[in-house]
Amino acid sequence: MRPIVRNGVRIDESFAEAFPMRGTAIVITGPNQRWAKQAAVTMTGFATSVIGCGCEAGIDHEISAKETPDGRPGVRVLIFAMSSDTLQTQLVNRVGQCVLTSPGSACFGDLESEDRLQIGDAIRYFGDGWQVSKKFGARHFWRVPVMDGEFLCEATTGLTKKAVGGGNLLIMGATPKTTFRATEAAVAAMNEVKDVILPFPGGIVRSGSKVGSKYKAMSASTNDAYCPTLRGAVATNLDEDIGCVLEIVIDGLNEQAVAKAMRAGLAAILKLGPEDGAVRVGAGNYGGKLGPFHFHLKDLLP
Amino acid sequence: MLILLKGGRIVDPVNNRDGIGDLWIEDGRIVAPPAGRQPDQIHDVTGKIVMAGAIDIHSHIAGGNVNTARLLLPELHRADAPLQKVLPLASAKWSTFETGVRYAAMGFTTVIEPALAPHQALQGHLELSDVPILDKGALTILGNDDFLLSLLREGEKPGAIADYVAATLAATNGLGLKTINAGGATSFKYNVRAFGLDDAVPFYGTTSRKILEALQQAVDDLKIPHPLHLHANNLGIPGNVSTALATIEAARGKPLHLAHLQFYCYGDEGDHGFSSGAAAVAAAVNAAPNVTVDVGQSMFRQTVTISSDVLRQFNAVGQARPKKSVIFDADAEGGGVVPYHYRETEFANAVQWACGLELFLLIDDPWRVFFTTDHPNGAPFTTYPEVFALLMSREARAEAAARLPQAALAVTTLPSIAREYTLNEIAIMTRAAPAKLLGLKDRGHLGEGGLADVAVYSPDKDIAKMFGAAHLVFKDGDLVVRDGTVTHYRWGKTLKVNPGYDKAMDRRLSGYYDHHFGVSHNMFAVPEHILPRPDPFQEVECAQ
Amino acid sequence: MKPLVLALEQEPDQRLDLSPLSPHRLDGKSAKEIAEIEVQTTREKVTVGDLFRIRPGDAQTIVFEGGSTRLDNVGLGLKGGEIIVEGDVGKCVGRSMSGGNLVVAGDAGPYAGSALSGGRLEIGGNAGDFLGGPLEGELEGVTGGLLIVRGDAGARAGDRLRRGTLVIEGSAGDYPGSRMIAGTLVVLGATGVLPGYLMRRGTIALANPPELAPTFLDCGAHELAFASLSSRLLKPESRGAAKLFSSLLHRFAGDSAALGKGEILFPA
Repeated sequence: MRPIVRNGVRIDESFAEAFPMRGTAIVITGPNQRWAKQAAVTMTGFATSVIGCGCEAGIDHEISAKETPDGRPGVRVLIFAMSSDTLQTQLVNRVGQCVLTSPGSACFGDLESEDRLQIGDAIRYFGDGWQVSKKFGARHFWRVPVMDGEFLCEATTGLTKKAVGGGNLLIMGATPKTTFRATEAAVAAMNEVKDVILPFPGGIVRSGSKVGSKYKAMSASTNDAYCPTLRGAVATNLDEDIGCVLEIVIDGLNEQAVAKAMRAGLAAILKLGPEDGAVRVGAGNYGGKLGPFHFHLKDLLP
Repeated sequence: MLILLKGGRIVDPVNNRDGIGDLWIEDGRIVAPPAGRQPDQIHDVTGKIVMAGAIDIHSHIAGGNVNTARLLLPELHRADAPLQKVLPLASAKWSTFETGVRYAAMGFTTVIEPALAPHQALQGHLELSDVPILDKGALTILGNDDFLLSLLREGEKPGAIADYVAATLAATNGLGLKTINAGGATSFKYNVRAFGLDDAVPFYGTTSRKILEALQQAVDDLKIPHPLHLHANNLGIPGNVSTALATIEAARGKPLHLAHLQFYCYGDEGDHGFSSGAAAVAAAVNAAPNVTVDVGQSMFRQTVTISSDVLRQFNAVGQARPKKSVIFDADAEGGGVVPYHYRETEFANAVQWACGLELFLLIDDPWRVFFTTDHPNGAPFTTYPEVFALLMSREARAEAAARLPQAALAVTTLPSIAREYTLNEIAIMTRAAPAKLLGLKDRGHLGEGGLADVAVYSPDKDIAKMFGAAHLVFKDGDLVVRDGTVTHYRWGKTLKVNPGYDKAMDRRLSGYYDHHFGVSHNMFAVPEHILPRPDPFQEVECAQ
Repeated sequence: MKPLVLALEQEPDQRLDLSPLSPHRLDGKSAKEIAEIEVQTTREKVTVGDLFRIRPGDAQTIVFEGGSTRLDNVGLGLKGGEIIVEGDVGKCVGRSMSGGNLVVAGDAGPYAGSALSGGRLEIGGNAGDFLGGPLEGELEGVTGGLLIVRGDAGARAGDRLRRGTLVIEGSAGDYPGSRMIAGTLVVLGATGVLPGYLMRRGTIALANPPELAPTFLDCGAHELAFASLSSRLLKPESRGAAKLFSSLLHRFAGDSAALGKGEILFPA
């Protein structure tokens, strides 16, 4: 099998295998960009993987004051989980602990959908009877008195059942330095895409996993086939010129957004070339039997 | 004027008549066929059904509480869109004028207001005198008043209590005596929120049972024809079937009328803690020939509950539909007005509906079960034709029941009951028996010498249609309704009793009012000349 | 498509009930059928054809050319579509409407938008007393939608307002927002006595507040995210209301003679 080569970078004849998730979007605003972002960063912390964190969350993009409902700078946050119930719990816990508490913040739904998730409808009770309901047309808000004034929070936001989680790219380079450079370039490009987040730290995960373990208690364990230090000791997937692998995981509100992000990431990696960046790009899958969404790398080339 | 109703089917259970025949009327009375005379007026009623005018023994049509309900619910009266043929919510309207018109259109000629508060008697009688066409009557309420409870506390003799009852009836022009949650309203003033048959009234030491027995005795001593008319304790509460059974026991074989018994037939079984106990109550009524009952059937629609049972009404405020109500903690009973909407979709409302029908159908003797909706508490009286249809047609019942939550019907015996009322039984229940119960010998039948209160109906497969708009109605021999429309307005009498009593009671009451309130006792009385029309009353003889 | 036009030919000699002339009630009716609809309120029968010159069109938009204070119940129960009145109307315009758009170029009588539950009612001129209020005995006034008066409103505007937004760009009479249950009432002109009398919850924003009742309690001046949200949402409908909400607002909580969870806001 002849590998596809673009700008000197080898592209695996492989695909990213992704899963249906439940997703939602909210907008957090604040008195200035810094504090809007602070609330968003706090509420999306410890949200890299549904397995250990309950949900996967991240910042979609920042929003200028002109485009937010209350005319203040804002940040759009996406949250994903495997079930609607979990998503509801995570959303309310995170808004309640991280946005309500953040000075000057306000919180709005930002997803059109028939299916709704509560935000303010649940958090209003913090107001101890002093909360105020406001309806403007079809939109419903709660005003909860807090120590710096009021926490304004939309009653509900939309829930999509068409979200996709687990889109990914495996970026393989000769050294950690060049691999980092390629991966960071990909993350930067993918961050420009709307309706997706990269839930891992700075968008990057270095501890890719495989299903199963020699230990009974572990359901997943290190992806030894991609560990460069085991290259000679296990059935490796790595070539001899590869000394480092980093992965980018993508969750999106829909399949198209995930594909668009992967396409943008690939383009950035390929543009960099093998000398300064990655020598090879792959994608993680489970043989195609577990997830219904298959993002073939060859279809996403620029 | 001599009037002949020719060739109708005459249904007159009192005189054992049910067949084709003629009916002659002259000078407001029914007369024997006069030999050799030609009638001045002939109505060919071939194919029609001829009955005496119907009598409603329990319908809240006048008085302070009724008037408060009008004030509370102006939206039920508003002619919102004048172009509409049927006024919105017309079913819950009750102006005095409309009351007379709509009752007459259904063939009713006598209606009894069952709750005349002694201190509001003037308001009640002013309203009754404003009801056209019909004869009226009112039952005077005692049982929570300080004077009576004080007599009982002091252990006064039955004679004193009878004198007090008679003096009150005379002053208020009552036709009989009513007691409403005896002692309960007084206890309510001391923050009691549940009150049963044997609970003691704070500070008076007496119980509901003792008040009931004393008033029953007084009615008996005074030979008032209508037995004590009792609104029992624990109205509307799940599990109150035990109250109903205990109250029937408490009558000790003496005459007692249990009002709107449907509201006392609730068990507390099943998933909802609410079920029908009507079968058990009906069996107890069947076994107690001294007891008469009226049903208080509920029907599904907007209405308003009006009651002097202030304790019960206070507890119902949370269920008001729409959410507004009036509760007043006045002297003696006080009262409450709580609007309510009985809904087909609601489990409890469906059970209530079934309970009422079970009572109608399981009490064997039509002479002892009376036709009421406790207007407007169970439903406005304008629903009577629909209720007649439910009683006379098992099919109509099944059709109505099919729209209800089936789990609700499962806690009743209604689906298993096959009985259908006959026209003769309807005539007993709505004509003959009420006249007997109230001691009105001049009506409720079509025998010679009786009042010419006559209702003629056109038989129809649609029973509600037949009873909704009478073909002809005569009141005192005057033709007042033709095909459901009033064609002639006239004023009826208010029926009252006048039992004699020792006038020493008047002096005693004067002293009491003077001492406690600084007002004259007779300021609450309703002398004839106060009322707007001449000769407003007709006296009913006291003799049992 | 062309709208259905009803041109008033002369001042009617009795009050009229125009509630039958809504899009959902005229849908599919011919001009002849429309002409036969009775609209009298007295015993003198009057039909649409007696009063209006009818120019047939799609009844989803109904245009009344001319107006009169005797035209009652215009757009009563409007569910959708549009009614435009190029003149005055009588009482109860847009009463109980739940959707659609109703625009009156002239003045409206009492109970304009009474018990509005959705849609949009705009009155170009002045409105009478009880703007949006319930009729006697009803428990709720406006329960949703948007009601804008470009001119002045009479006494007790927004009586028993439950939800929705009322904007009066001119002045309001006495007791605006009386017995408010919740919702939002904005007055840009002068305001009569005792705004928010016995209000339970809700927001009254006044550009020029009179002296408030002592049962309204001073809560200080605040920058509220809610106010800037309101400002943005109201901007397309009323620049004046948007401007009012974009200022620093002084908050008085009340009416503490009732539940006391409402507020009166005005520029600090």
